Amino acid sequence: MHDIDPNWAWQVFEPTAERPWDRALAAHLFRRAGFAADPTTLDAALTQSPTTVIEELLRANVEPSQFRTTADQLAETVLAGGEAKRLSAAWVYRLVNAPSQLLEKMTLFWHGHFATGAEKVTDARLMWQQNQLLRQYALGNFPALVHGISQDPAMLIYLDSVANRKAHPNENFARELMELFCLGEGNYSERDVQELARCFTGWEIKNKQFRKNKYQQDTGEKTVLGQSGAFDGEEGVRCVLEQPSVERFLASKWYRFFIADEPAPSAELLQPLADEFRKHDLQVAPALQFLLQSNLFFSSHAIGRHIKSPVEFIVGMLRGLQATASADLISKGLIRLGQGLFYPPNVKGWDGGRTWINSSTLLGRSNLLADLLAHESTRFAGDSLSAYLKELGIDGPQQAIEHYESTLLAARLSDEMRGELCRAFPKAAGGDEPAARELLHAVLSLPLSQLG
Amino acid sequence: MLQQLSTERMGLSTRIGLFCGLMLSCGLLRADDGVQQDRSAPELLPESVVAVAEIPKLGAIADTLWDHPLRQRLLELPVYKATLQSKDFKQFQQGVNAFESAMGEPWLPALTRLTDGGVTLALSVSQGPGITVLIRSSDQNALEKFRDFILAIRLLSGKGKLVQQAEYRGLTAHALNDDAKMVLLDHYLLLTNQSELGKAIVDRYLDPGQSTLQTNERYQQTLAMRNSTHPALAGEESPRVATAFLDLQSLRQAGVAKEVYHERSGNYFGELLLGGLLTTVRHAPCADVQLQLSSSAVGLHLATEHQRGWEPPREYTFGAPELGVAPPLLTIPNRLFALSAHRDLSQMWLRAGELLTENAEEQLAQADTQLVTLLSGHDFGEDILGSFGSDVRIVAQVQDFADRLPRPAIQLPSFAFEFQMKDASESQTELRRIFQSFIGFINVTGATNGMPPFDLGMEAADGAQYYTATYVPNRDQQKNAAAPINFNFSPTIAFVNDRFIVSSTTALARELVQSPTKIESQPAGEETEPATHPVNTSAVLDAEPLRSILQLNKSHLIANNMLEQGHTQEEAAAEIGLLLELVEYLRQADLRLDFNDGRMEFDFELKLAK
Repeated sequence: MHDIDPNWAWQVFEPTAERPWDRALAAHLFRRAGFAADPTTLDAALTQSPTTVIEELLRANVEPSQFRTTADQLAETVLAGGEAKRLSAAWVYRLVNAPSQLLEKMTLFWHGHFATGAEKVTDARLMWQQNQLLRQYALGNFPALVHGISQDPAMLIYLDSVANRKAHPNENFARELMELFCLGEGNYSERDVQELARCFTGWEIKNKQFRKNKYQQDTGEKTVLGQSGAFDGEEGVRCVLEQPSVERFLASKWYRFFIADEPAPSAELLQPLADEFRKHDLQVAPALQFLLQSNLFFSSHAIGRHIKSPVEFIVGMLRGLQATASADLISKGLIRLGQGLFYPPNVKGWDGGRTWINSSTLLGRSNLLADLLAHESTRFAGDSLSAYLKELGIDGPQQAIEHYESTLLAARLSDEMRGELCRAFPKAAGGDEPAARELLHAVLSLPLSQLG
Repeated sequence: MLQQLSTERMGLSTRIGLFCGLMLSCGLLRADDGVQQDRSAPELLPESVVAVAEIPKLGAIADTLWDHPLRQRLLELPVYKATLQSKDFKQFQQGVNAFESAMGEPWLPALTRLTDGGVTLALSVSQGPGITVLIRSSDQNALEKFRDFILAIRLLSGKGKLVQQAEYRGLTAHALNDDAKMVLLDHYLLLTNQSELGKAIVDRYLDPGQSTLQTNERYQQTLAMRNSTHPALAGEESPRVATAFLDLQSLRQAGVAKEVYHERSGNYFGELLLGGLLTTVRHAPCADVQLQLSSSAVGLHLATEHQRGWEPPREYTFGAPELGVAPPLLTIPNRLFALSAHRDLSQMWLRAGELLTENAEEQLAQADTQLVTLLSGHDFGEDILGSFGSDVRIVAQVQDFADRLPRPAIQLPSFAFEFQMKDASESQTELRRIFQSFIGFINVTGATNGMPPFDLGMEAADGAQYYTATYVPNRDQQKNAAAPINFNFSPTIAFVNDRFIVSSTTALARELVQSPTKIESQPAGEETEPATHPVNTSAVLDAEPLRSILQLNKSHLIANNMLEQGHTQEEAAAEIGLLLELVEYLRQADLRLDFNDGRMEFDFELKLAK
């Protein structure tokens, strides 16, 4: 990674004859800046430049009101029923059907970043409110998001910070704010934690709502990250956000989320992205545009260098094949695969990368896929898989495999593997529904299919 | 010509019609001269037959269904229109066309003519499962056409492979496949999957005087039982459209439907409701089943012999020394469901080890242990259930939230249990204390999950003593029209004389306390209660309140459908809309179980909207 030239890396990608803007690159863009795109969306994208497509993805930073109403109604139904665990199904529906893919992908990113678990919070409505907050600022103003999360009841309950008294400042939230949310390890001292915790005194959750208790506010002078004053919580957050580590920390996380799990990038390579983020006053969208339209993003350093998370794997399959399935079934399956929505493993969120894959989770992915494909509710553009493939003019296993490669996979299968699959499922895509589903299952269970 | 017939452009129906015509004209298929025309199917079936279903007028059933106003309304449903476009339906329609072409007239008159002597289905297990269908028609020509239609279908599906023929005692049998055989016996067309069974029928057809089902003692016993009962359907004379005889003893010995004969049940509530029925079926030698159909109702009647010696260990269902009788069903406005039964719940709980499977009993034992803690050391089965008589009544009602806030987003029906206390003065204090402990327990566990607490209350009214528990909404929930689901509940117990009522809401408890007067003042024209004579168990489900509660929760049902099925909002709305429309066609469902005069009778009736 050290030998990548930052100047080349962050230049805007311009398609050439050798590296044209084709289906493979468009599919890569949608897999990373979303979950996957169906053939129609991919073909439409190819009629525009990559930059225009990215701008459109970023412009869709608010859900269309009709979709939002429908999706919120699902969540409200779950909340009215009091089944906290089922809340993740309502989010799954959004992930699969949301018109704004990047917005939903970033909401998922922030959920892992500001990890909060429903197991501890227990109040599903608070979890849902936090989810709405993450979505509201997913592509927006990072400082506003940090201020919002600092007063978010679910977050403060999760970090045992429902009461912060001046006699005993609670250091939990102050520590995580710097270590996990804004600066990263090594960019603050223990003294900063103690002083920042003093800023948050008087902040508490009462009756499931955030409030400031002026009687518990430490009004004395504090020194946080080199700045001194009689800071309150908001000013404490401001001090943190003014640190240059903020942009470097976020740039590093986005690199891992959007470009490659490993190897870790050099500081020099990341700095232009960090600078872009700061230059736009920590607005998320401009930084993501800088990243997504770069040579680096469309290069071999990025393509196929990311292991799909369970959500990316399942939602990607559904979106790429215009499929719909039981959100309940998916949400339960995601919990088994270690990425239960609203159930991150701890405050650090999901580690991602290679930790997604081991012999057990690989089998788990295959089993969940088999369950989905066997379930009566799973349909492709409202029809059977064989009818869907037929509608696309796909005939025979060879063409079906090519279709899956171009929409769902980061790389082509070897000729040998393709031959084996064709021999194993000769009737797939010939109108034989079980065979079509078996072939899809076989393709997506391959190790190569786990790469995004 | 044959080459022309096999052209692929020719429709299935045309091909079959022409094929049949050709076969007949060539004299390839010839019906044998009849020798016996007046014998009923049971007189032809061997004694070894263990189950028989007789449908005397299949055409009349089809006619009733075809002309029913419900069918016209179903035809207008979008889902039906979509079904018309499906591949499966098109194949079915092709089959119907082929049938009409072969029979030379529309399917309904053709079916009526073909089956005017009745259709009989029989099962034999003496040499493995053997199924026989006997179609009797007064029009032999119709039977021949139908036989040729089947042969044509067989020939086409066999890709031209010839149908095997064999002679048996001068009659021609056609082999439809390795097992299935078909023979024309004058006015009967016989189809069977077992050659030996087919031969036995032919033997009886040709040689009267052999033992037959008609001479079977259990069959005669069943006929006697059938002739002594003719359950009225929805209060009107209605035809038995189908009857069935089940030789339960032989079926048990053959291991058919083994799970029915398990002595232990895995389902506590199933055991509670139908344990008595199943225990009788496990002993009874035979059963009579009757299906009734009219334009306004469908009914199912099951009757078997019942002996008191068969009851152990399920005496809790039957009562002793006399057979127990259920109290009348509870009647209240907006009633959704009611069940009334004679059940000694204490006895059932204490004898669970003999009634339930190991797993079910284990779960019950765990619940029992937890209840002992909650009940301050009292035994749930012995002390609590033991303080009640064997009259059990359950009722559910649609709640009216129109003028009430907070209003839950999901509106559930309220429900209540009513028992008779054996000794009211002794039980009342204990039951009240248990209720208060229970509410305290709910409050403690609820508080850890952020639920609002219950406020306990007590009042005397209508000659009853009420103990209530009401959720106290916090300030921002007081005017909430989409409150959490727990606002459906205000648990209440009420004591009135020796009646003990446990209700999910205070309002329902009040209704029940006042219910005896309401029964008396029931306006004329309202739904009459299904059980007009004493029975062991009676239940009723009213469709109007069901429709109302589904309608109230329509948006949530749609949302649930979207989450469960992954449907779009439009698809989910269509599916739930269909459900609501179907419920609109129903009026009431009744269930009755009775043990009397050495007999068990079970009735289920579904009444349709007028």
